[in-house]
Amino acid sequence: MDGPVTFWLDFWNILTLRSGYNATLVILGTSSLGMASGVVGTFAVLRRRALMADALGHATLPGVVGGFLLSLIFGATGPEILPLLIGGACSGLLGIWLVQFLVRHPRIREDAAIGLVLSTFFGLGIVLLSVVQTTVSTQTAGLDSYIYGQASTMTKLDVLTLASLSLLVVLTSILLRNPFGQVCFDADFAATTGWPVDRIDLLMMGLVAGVCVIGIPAVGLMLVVALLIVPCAAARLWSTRLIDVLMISGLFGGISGWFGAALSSSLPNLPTGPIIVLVAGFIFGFSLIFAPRRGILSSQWDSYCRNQRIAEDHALEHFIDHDDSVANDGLSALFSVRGWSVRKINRLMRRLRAKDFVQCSSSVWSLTPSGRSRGLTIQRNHRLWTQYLTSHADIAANHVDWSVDQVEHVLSDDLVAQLEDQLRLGSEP
Amino acid sequence: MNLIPALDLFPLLASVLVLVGCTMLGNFLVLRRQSLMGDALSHTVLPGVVGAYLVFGSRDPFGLFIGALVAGLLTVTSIEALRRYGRIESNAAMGVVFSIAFAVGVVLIRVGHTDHVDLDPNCVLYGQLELLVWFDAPSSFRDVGFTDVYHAMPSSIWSLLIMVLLSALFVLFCFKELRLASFDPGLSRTLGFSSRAINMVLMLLVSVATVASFEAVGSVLVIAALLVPSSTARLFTDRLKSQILVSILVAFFCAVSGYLMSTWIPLLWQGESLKASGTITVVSGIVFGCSLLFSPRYGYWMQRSRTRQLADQVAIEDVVVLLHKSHRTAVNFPWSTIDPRILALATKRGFLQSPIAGQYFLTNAGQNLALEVQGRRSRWLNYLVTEVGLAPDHAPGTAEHLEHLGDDLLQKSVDTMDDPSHPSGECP
Repeated sequence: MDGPVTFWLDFWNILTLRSGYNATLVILGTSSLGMASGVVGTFAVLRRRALMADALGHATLPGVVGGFLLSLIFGATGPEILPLLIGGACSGLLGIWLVQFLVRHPRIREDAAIGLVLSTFFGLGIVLLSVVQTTVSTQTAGLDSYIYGQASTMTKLDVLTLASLSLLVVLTSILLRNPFGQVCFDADFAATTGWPVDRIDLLMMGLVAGVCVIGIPAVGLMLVVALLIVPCAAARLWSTRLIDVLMISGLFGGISGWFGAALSSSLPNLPTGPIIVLVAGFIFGFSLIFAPRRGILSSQWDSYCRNQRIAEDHALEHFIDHDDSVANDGLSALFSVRGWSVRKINRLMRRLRAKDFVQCSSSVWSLTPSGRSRGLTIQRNHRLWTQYLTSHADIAANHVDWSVDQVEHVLSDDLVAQLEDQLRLGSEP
Repeated sequence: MNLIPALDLFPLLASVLVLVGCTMLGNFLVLRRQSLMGDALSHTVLPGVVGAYLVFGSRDPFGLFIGALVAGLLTVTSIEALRRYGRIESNAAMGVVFSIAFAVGVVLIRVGHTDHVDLDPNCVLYGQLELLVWFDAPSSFRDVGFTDVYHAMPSSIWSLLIMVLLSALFVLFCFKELRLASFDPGLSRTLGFSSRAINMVLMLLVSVATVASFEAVGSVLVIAALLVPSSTARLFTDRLKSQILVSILVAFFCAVSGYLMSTWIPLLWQGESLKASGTITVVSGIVFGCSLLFSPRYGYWMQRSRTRQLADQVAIEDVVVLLHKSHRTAVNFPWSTIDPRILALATKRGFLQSPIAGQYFLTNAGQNLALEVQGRRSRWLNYLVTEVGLAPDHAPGTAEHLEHLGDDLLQKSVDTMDDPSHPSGECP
């Protein structure tokens, strides 16, 4: 009885940064990391390098372990953050460079190159790890946190570093969004208009790699790819403009960091990294279903409406072909070509009557003037398109009808005018 | 150090089975540009296994197998659904699905308190090849044949055997369909084979392979086993059948040598043995790297030497033509501007002779070569202006590049132009 209430109170306190120094630090750190990775990840996804980030994350393992070994040789007593991060960055960048190098070979495609680098580097990391575990007796438990992430041990210095780096990354991305966007959407065009594509690309990958490396202590190298990809994938469902996607993606990343860290510290025994990823995943799922225009609900609704409109158009066309009126019991014969059920026909007629396209008097259905003019327009579109396909697109006359049936509903007024012009010109000589 | 049957026979056997079985399927993944599906599937094994453990409440291998298989199928279908309904690019869809699934797995482990079972993410990632111990084994490999091997065999060997058998049967009996669906999905649909059904079966088998292998070798080695031997084989051959055979050989070699490395390398510093799954991956990476450098067909070494030979040939032809144009007199010829190596090479091949040091003359062979190259140039020039439609003042530059190519290319296109059965304007 008491449990849920205290949990929610606890959660609320942590969420509003009122429960202690440590939790506040972790929340600030993870949310600034989430924001930076959301913004930078957008460019990685748009450049179709989503899984390059995965390769980068896995490729840091040998560097992390190697950095640890080296730091032991130079007299460290346990895992220290700096050598591990430098080692990770070096081997991660080497991995990225190898992928780029392999892709240029005619027999190796990008997916295979990513898989090759990812697995080989990770294998090397495992070998080094087993060397460390069997030969060195000092504390190695900290190494595991680089694989799965350990955000709860952040210090003030870590958070300050994270926050300033994130600020830098976000500012760079927003200021340079124009060249970055150009390279993402059409690298060849960007090159022709004079942008230094290679250098821009390098800077972009450098930002991604930087976020990856600083994110690894917090969420782990297996999951850093999620922070880069998932917020952007969710943001793209809400907008198609680059600047909006950047903003929304940064916002989603920040929210996931904030809520994830708060959740994991208000529940016992939950690792921070995976929870952050799950919150991001939840935002993604929500967007996938409910986003306006591109979400599943709304796009299904759109196609439902479109199908209904098309069915209405067909019905009107049949009426026109049948001299504008038909008896009530002749309806199913009229629509027999379409194979519609009686229920569907009834609903359709009700809708048409509501729109004032048909009227029913003494069990005879007939077109109203507005229905008649709409039907004639559609019929005209149908004939125009048929004419165009047979005379200009070289399609055999008996093949035309089916494709016309699908296109006639979506002809815009401009296109109709253009078709009329072309057909007139074509028939003159 | 000698190998001990009790400790080494089954791990060795398991690694060979994993690599060979996965490689057969991996060939098609690489061919169909779906390599990263293996990556995604190997990550989603974790939530499947942990979920099955939480549902069935035991470490029964069959239950875990079912759980991981369900997770694998869910992954494949949800990636496909995200691509279709969410209109998300396939790489991003894959990344979204498998990273979230992996996070679910890690959280489930902590929430379900399964830490005390040996079900931690480490063993899913790295595998536990070393735990395939064969109890009551003979003390030496010479006696292996005389004992009952099937007695007390580790259970994962059985699932690996079944996996290899299934993949082999699939590749053998559906080879034609697989090849068709991989190279030309459109044609395969026209001929009545559903390429989507074949794709689905392939994905199912890849999940089976991943699931059967992860317990023994971990998910990282699974990715390597799917991709590395088949990518290596692609560097040696263009034919699918020989690619599969080569990749199986490579896989076998990598498995055995990688396993041996894991016990032999630590002897250098008297340490304990390394993670075999890691060394096998590294060895296969090295094998791939060596093939990339030295393969006779697509290796960098061969390609560089081939380019070099071509460059030499072009340079010699240029020198010979230049000399021919200056009326074979070598008096005012700017010899210092020409690479002496090329001159020496041309002399060695008999196109030039040098009676006085620093002075060169064309031989008869050199004269013929010069005439031939010039003839080729004028034919290309003619062709470029009359048939390709280049402006006359733009054509010489292009012709200068093309003159070094044998004009069998030109000859072929001229032949087809004369041939009335080919409509003109179409590419020969």
